[in-house]
Amino acid sequence: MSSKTLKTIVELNFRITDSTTNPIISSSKAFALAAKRYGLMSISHSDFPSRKTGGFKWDERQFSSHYQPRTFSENLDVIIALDEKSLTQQVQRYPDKFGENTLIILNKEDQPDSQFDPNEFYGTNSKFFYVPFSRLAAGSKNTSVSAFGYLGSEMGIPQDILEKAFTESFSNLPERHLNALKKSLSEGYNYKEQKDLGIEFEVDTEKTRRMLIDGNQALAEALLNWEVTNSTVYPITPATSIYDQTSDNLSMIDEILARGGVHTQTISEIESFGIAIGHIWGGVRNGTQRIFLGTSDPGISLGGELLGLVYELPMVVANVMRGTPSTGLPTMTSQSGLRQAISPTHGDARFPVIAPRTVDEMFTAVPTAYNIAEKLSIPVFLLSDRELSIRQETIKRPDLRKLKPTQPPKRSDLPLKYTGLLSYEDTGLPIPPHDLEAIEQTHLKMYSRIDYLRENDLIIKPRQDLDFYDPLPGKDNEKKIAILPWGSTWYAARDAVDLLSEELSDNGYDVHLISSLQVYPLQKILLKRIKEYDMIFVPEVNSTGQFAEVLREETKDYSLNQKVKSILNHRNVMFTPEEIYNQIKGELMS
Amino acid sequence: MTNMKEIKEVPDIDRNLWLPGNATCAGCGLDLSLRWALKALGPRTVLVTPASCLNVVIGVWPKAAPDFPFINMVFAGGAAAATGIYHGLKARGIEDVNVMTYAGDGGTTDIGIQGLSGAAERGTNIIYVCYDNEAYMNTGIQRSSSTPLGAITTTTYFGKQEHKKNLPAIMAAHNIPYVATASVADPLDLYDKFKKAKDIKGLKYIHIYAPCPPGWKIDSERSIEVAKKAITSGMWILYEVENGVFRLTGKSKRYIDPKKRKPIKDYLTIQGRFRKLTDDDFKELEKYRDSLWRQVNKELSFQELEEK
Repeated sequence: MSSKTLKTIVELNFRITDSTTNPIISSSKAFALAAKRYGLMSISHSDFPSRKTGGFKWDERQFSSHYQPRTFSENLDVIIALDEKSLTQQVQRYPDKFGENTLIILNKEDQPDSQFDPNEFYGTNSKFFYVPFSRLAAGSKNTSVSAFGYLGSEMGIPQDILEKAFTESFSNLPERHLNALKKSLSEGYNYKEQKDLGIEFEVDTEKTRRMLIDGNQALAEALLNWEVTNSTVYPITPATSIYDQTSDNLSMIDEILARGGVHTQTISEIESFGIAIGHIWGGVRNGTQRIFLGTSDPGISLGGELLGLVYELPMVVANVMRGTPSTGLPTMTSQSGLRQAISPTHGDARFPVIAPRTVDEMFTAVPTAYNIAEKLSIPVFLLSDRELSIRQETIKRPDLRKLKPTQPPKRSDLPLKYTGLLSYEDTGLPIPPHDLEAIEQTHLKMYSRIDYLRENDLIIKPRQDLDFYDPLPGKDNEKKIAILPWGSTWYAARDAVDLLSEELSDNGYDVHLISSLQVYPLQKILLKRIKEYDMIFVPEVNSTGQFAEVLREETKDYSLNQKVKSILNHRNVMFTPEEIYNQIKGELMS
Repeated sequence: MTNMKEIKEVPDIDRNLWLPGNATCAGCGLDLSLRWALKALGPRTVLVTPASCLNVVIGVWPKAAPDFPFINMVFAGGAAAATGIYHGLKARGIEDVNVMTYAGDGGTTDIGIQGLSGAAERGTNIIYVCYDNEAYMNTGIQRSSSTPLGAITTTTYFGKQEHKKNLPAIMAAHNIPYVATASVADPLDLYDKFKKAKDIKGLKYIHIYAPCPPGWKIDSERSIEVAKKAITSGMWILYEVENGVFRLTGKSKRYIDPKKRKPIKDYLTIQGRFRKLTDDDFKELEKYRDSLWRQVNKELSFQELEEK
């Protein structure tokens, strides 16, 4: 009984929302897994403000088989609301997401003769459909499964693929729950025969092999691939999921232990930094151990003092930034940890900082971080953020063999004038800086090593595709402007460049994207590029423009005060391309 | 004449300071314990909470759940902030306010123990409560030092290798005026203990057994059942130490007799987090339970000797 095709699409923007207890994010991940196996590329964007605002959560995904989606378009194609309350809240909070072409599927029995106009009631102008997901899922505690069954059949995903993905994802459920779940999935799947949305989802026949992975999983897998041997952690959202399951259902902790490494869960960040320092003093200099510590802004605030003791020893500290006070209440997207990472212990000590921009860049960022750490014998900060940590993306499977370390962790081979490495002759252990003389030396050498990094680009392979982007390579307009994102702002900036370039190229502007993995100290290549532009826009998710400040300091060029403009967003959510586009356009027009 | 038990004071059940409709999960032990604690303490209470589920589930104004002053605090600072509040109020001449810290087991047994020990040694007049759900639940179920042997968390995939830290005993060793354990399975006992703590000067420490259905992998409706089985199997002991005098309370009194204790398997096998326990683990946990009771017996027999 399928109705005529309403629309043919190559890209599906989908959101599911709920204010009850349905585990929609887990279900959505299972669905994305099925879609990936079917050959679709996807990207996710979810929010869990439910607990704070009284039960309201959502998960948004974009699917396409033609290209890898990068950011989220303004309107949704399909939104499934599992209860009316969550739909009301969605419309109130994200009115722009609801357009004329949006299909709203509400969990409700069909009311064909009703005089009730939902668009008037909810304040939308979209298309409404009623599907009784709760009835279809009767017997299962998870209503969202029937919704995903229904969506899967609309998108043309075969039922067996869906069932396999859901069974794998919920394998820890008891048998009877799992059977109920399968039944509700198939009820939802078969409901298409009764009611068809009329979406024609175009699928490319050429399917690429990809892996579905989120930022923290990618970080964990990169660390395992780089043969990290020692890790310590104190639980802190959003960093803890680094230690959860990887995309291959491995636990990073168990893998490290299985390889004869050491993992310690501590009782505070003070202890975890302390233990990491102990590991360094005890092992790294013998060329056997690689040390990793994952935490978030508040954890670095607490344990940062101890980093003062490891100025001259290699380790990698990942900060999955969340900003905000350290109370456990607000875990939101933020890029607030840059200045903290540069000098967490006191103002005179400086550390190198790198910030991977995309999920797949984690795989190259980890080797880069350890290379810098081992070459310079210095702790290196790797900045991720909440958005990147939970963003599930289908990425091309990286060639892990090429990203393996070629030699065991080694002592720095820099001349002594840079490193100031001093060790006891008999044991080879470094002289800890409680020795007064050593402290003085450490201070001096500290600057030298950052200077060394300024002068020498150490990154193994710069990612050309992420570092520079010119949408119209042939054009050479007089005025040149650049967008310079860092970290996960890259996604939105990349699309904003496309939008701006389309509009401004005829007005005499060239719009480029420039970016760098290493955000402190800045690389020569970036400093050279900056000089070519008349105006540089730096989008950041913080309230003080930390990277723009670093840029002004690093270039030591005071004319940059005029040239560098911050685009700030301290709403603790990621930028949309439109937001960057509008702000830059406003700035240029004024 | 019929033998009637003395009816305990009936709590003011009409006044809920911890409002319903908050964002705790169904069957949450924290939610239940806090509701009863506040019934005992009354509206003149200030609550400090270091990072835990509690300062997430309170919600945001105007939908916030606490109907009393509530302060969010950093993870390590629960006891310190309460100390500050107490001194601040005292300087203003206000001494009838209960200052209470309500922290999770991570915030108490791990990161918060330093500040707690300091406040206990100084004898600050506050109530410190640890609601013990035996792992870091808010960050997604990681082990804490209060997680029992064999329990599965995301950082102990094959079950924890170490035993639970006995924090009430550590606190009793501080010689503070009042240390008590409580459980959501015995709310009247819990209520009595808070009533008592309210009138004692100095640091009062109450350790509450609070099941967490998602973290322990139990159905929400079995939350209280699990808490009851913890007591009947002797894995959780209700007692109080008042000015150095140890006393079993509530439902735990009868389990001093080892024959009356139910097998620990009854308690462990209904929880998903213990699904990987081996026979050796069961024996080890049984030994652990017996060692807890041995300590109880030791305390009680010493007291008997002293009385003689």
